[in-house]
Amino acid sequence: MDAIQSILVYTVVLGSLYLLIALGFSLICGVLGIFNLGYGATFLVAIYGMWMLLSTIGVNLWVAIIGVFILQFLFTLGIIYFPIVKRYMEKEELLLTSLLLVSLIVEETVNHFYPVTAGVDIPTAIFSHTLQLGSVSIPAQMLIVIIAAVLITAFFVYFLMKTRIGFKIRAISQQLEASRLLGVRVERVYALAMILSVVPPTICMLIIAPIWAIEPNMGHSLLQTAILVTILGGLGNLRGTVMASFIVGLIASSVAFLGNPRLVGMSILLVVFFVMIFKPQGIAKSETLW
Amino acid sequence: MSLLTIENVTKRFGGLTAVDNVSMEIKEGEIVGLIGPNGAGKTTLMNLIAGTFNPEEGKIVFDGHDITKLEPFQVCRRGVSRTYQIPRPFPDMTALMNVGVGVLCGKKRPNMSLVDGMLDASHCLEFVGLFGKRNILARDLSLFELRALELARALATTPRLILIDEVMAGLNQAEGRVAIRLIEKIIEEFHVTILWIEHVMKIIMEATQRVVVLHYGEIISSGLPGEIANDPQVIEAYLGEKIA
Repeated sequence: MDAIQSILVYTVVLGSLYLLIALGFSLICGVLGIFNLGYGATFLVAIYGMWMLLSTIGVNLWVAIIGVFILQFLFTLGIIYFPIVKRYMEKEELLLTSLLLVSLIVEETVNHFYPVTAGVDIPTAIFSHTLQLGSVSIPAQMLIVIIAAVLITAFFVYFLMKTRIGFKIRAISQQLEASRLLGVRVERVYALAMILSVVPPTICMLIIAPIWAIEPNMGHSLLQTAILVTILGGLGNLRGTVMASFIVGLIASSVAFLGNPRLVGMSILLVVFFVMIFKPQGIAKSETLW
Repeated sequence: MSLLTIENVTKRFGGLTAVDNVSMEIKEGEIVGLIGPNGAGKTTLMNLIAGTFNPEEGKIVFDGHDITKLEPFQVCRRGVSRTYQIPRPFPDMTALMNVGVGVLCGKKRPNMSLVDGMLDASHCLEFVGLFGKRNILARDLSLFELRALELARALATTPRLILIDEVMAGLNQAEGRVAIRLIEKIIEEFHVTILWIEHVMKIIMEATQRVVVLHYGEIISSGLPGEIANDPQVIEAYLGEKIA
């Protein structure tokens, strides 16, 4: 009984977390049709950008939060989109290698200025106590992850389904060539999608920074999570990504509470692997973004 | 007055010269047929006009403006629209939304709401006879309906020149007749200029006012439909294929 309670709670908590981690990656996959391997660096820019603003420059928390978003937008447009993605859109191997290189450079830079031993303390905790849900206790801060996941997903869906720009984004994701010829400014919409894609990971990092193990190489595992959830969800379909996040959350919590916590990573990898072999289109039914 | 002027345009793909030093002119209101054997460069020429490709050499002028190096969306907003031989709909959007993309993006309309866009789109759908199918996803439409949808989308951008790439391919005779009637109706109602690629010679002979023949990327003949049908060079290019 306790195990079932734990699994339920953690499925929701982890599912929301995975969703926040994967949402931006999935959007870029669905709209631009590329794997943004620079996405791992987004998490580092969020955490260490925040830390730089707070500790090295010494601004207050609210200025730092605004600052980190500006930093993130500059990074994604000025380093990821215009110099690399836009230029190498049609040359996949150059695109992927350059993106990978950039994320490694970011990691090395972070490691140079803020090595693991330096310690990072970002005071964005709204709750610092733990919460008792039946037999399960979780950090209360995790509730904010759940709320953020719901709100951001709702915003994304609203934006895609109800606004003009969202309409263009969907058109591009379904038929690039025809969109161009019907007058859609594709490059501009791409740039906007890139900006949108860094919002969920930035918010996610701000929320979990106080309760997470922060280190300069954390981008790898977060990128891996984003890739796995996106593949499982059908390469860019948001509905699929939402479902996939909670499926992965369910696998992780089930394996952790019923089996061996050390097999969590392996079991997620295996499930995604078999989905790729037997149902390469992922779990989503349609090709649309939603 | 000349609406579209193509001057010495050349496009190469690696060692292949797809369009070779082509010059032609289309006057406002003209219906011009573009024919030639497979691989003659007809579709490439259309892609050059629409801005999908940029030519290596030459110049393309539309309505007095040089559009040679413009992006497709800019060419579209100047008033050039095209349809595809193999329809390229937005598969997971309804017919109405497919046309809505053309309405909202085909011209600068920053203040038009999605709802107003869809209203305009429904008029275009009605014109091509697809109003009853407005809420059907494009992936569920028949080939004939997709062709009509392509025309509606083209109209939605309020074009002055429509590039039509094979309306007839894959349609049966009855559907073909309806498609031709539809294009005639578009010409009558909107006074658009048309450059029309078609393999069915009968249509070219009946529906167009002038025909340009491409062969290996070069224009080998140009003139009235009746003259073209009897041009020995054209007959040779088609190598025994019966024309007219």
